[in-house]
Amino acid sequence: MKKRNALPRLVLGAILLALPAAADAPRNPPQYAQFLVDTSTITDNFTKLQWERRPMVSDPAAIWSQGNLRCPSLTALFKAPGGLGRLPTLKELLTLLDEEPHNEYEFGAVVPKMIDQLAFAGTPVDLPYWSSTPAGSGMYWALSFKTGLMMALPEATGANVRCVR
Amino acid sequence: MARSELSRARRSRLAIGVTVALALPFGVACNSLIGLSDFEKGECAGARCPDEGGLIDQFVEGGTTDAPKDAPPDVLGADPVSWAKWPMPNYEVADGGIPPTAMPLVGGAGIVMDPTTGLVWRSSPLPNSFKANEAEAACRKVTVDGPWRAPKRIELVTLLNYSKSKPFVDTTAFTDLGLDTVVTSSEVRPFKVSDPARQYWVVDFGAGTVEPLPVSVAAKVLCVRATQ
Repeated sequence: MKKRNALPRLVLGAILLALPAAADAPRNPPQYAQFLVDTSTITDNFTKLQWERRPMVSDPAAIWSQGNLRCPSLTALFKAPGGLGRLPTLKELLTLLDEEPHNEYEFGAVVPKMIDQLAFAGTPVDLPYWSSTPAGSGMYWALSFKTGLMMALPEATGANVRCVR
Repeated sequence: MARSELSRARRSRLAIGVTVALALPFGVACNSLIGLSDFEKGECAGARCPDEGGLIDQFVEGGTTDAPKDAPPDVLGADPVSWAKWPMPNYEVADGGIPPTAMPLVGGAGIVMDPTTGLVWRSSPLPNSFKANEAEAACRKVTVDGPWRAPKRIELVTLLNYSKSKPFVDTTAFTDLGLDTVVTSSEVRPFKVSDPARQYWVVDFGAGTVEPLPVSVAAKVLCVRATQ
């Protein structure tokens, strides 16, 4: 009886199995490191910034400390080991802006949101988000994730905060 | 009899092999058609998945590289969304006294290299103003040290310098860039290529803002390319 060589068949089988997977494999690393539904922070693989997934909803008293705009001490990043969270600069905040809006139900209405809907699920967009970038005397730049527009706001205005480090 | 059985077995194996080989491309195509590819994108956080393709620069060791676009325009003619693929250079001191992260721009011979992002810019905008939908073609016509292209929104944002007063850009490196509005090739959504009122994102270095501009309005064009 002639002995059959199984190696070519194994190689062919492996190629046939691997091809469909290889055709759909991502060619570049994803923008964000892996996260779970209840993960409190998320890391951008490219900008190297670590963001809070749940923003701090407007509370001027918590955000304004001794006349300065500060990341509130109640946030997850502030409490996290290895360093304090801080307010993002305007340009850092702009890296979160998704030019392709998606619709979400918020406060009884469907509103467009210009931020990743999985990484930053449930982001309220009723108010803009503070940056630490000054915009003149007593003013700071803020960014709206509803319109994608930036605006200079007087300090102590009610706005949201998403801390970073 | 034995030879006949052997031949039948060979034909059977051959038939299976040919069937699998022919079915494979259909299977891969079907994978995309029925949305399994999109399912994978969902796993890596929606619009920010790599194969969304928008930004064609990838930050690699020693600079950036322009990879071919791996996603076509959508049905309304808009290019894929762009994302930052490099650290965002800050020129001002951040909250908590964090020092600036921007490395000094390296200029010379009409070119400015940004070591933080790896992007290479023309030091001067094109002599004429262009509408946003003409900017890409205008940059491609510049052949010296090219190929050049029009910047995406997030790329042009990297040049904003809030550590100084107007214009909000390093005018030592970008000698002819003043209080100019500079167009990007990033469309403002909702976008329809046939809509005469469609808008593109622009950066106003005089005001330090990023804002929409109707396609009918011409503005300055600053061409960019990858390092490699």
